[in-house]
Amino acid sequence: MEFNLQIFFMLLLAYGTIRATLFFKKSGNFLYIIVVSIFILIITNNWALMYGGSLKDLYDSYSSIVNIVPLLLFLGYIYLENQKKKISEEKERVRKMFGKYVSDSIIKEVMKKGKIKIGGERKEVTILYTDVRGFTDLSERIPAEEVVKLLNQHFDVLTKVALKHRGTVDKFIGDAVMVVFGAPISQKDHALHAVECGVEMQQKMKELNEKLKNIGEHLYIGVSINSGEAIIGNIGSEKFMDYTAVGDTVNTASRMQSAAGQGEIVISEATYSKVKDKIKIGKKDQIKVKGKEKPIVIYKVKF
Amino acid sequence: MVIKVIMMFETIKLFIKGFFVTIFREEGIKSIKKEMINPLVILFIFGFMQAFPSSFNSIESFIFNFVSNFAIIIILSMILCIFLYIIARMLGSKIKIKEYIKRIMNVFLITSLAFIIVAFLLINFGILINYPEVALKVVQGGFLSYYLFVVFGWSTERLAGFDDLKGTILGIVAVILIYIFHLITGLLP
Repeated sequence: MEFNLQIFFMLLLAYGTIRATLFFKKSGNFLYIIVVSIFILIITNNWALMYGGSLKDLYDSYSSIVNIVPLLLFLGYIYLENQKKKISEEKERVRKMFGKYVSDSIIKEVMKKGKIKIGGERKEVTILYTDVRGFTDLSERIPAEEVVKLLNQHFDVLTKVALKHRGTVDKFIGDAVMVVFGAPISQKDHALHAVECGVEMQQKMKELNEKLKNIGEHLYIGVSINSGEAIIGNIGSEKFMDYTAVGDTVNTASRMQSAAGQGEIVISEATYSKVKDKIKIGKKDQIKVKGKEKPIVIYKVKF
Repeated sequence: MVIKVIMMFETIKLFIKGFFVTIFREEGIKSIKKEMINPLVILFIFGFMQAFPSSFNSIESFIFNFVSNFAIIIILSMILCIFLYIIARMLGSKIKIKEYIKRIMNVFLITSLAFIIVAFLLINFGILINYPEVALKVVQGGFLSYYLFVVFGWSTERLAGFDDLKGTILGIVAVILIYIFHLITGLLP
């Protein structure tokens, strides 16, 4: 068997043709189809030349078949356009499903990866809780409309910060906010993202309080953070379903709230072990929480 | 025992699904990635299939040619795998060498088997419609082999985890190398 330059050249072109077709299928960019058509023409011409003819002879001999090629290409294009439409519809569905809870960058990542498990999965995550300090007192002191307005302002600030730090806003529970880090897209530094988010939340609350000075009001929050395994997925009834996290990690984070004073951030031992080299840690303490026999260790974050 | 039988069936199922690569389907790539057959077994089967001598005078020459062909094919395919692995790493793939060689050996076996199956079907079809020489020309003319070279190139890049222009470079290198491999093995007795 001898080396044949013409065959070698056609082999590379054939590879280019297949690759361009697959790129077209993936991206829907019509330029690839032009590349494919040119490659096919060159291959066919070379093939014909190898047998002593030319592309024109081939066309004369098989004109009916050659005429079908553009039609086939057109049909292929329509088919792929259809596929593309289906994919974009699926992406829109994902955007609608997650758009409320997660940042744009995470939505893009979800779409890029194509599939995420929404049925339920066990994941290593960090849960952040914030709670307004002295809310009961505030709600009794000022009119209901004012309370709602104030709460919404603070939720707005906290949500923006959470999304900025790649958190998923899980839910608002009265005056509390629950944010999950590390789901639906896994993150290596979910604990660090959560702590940085907590710090910025406290800083933004200070800025908000500066504005609230004009009306003589103020809002303070306490932040608690815990890391560990949780079950993540679409949980709820058939008619009302939420993408949320459940499990001991979530419960502990919520119960640690009691230890976070106004303007404070408390983190659990699990979170501390992941971020100890990257943030400033203050006082170490032990607290007793509901559902745990032994007291749990907490750390206050300095910022 | 039951678990062993189930695993064997699962492995066979994955291997069969691997044939999807011959029509450029991602299912094939996924199956090859999961497939658990020992790479040495694959290498042995592949070498065995390719090593049959095309010419021999006696049973001794058959055995001698077979053994030498077998050794050359095994060495060449290993060199090819390692070379492809180096290129894949240079292009930024994070795959481990053992894993990559195992996957490439799988593609070798799948494409070889696909060639035999399609050639067999084509020739039989040719005999059935009274045009055996046309079928023989398609098989011997190399069209089928060249198609499978393109399959090999595509599988090589996808199994290294690429699906972009970097992958295309790896794919082209793979096509060139497999063509050279084809030329060298064509010289074997």
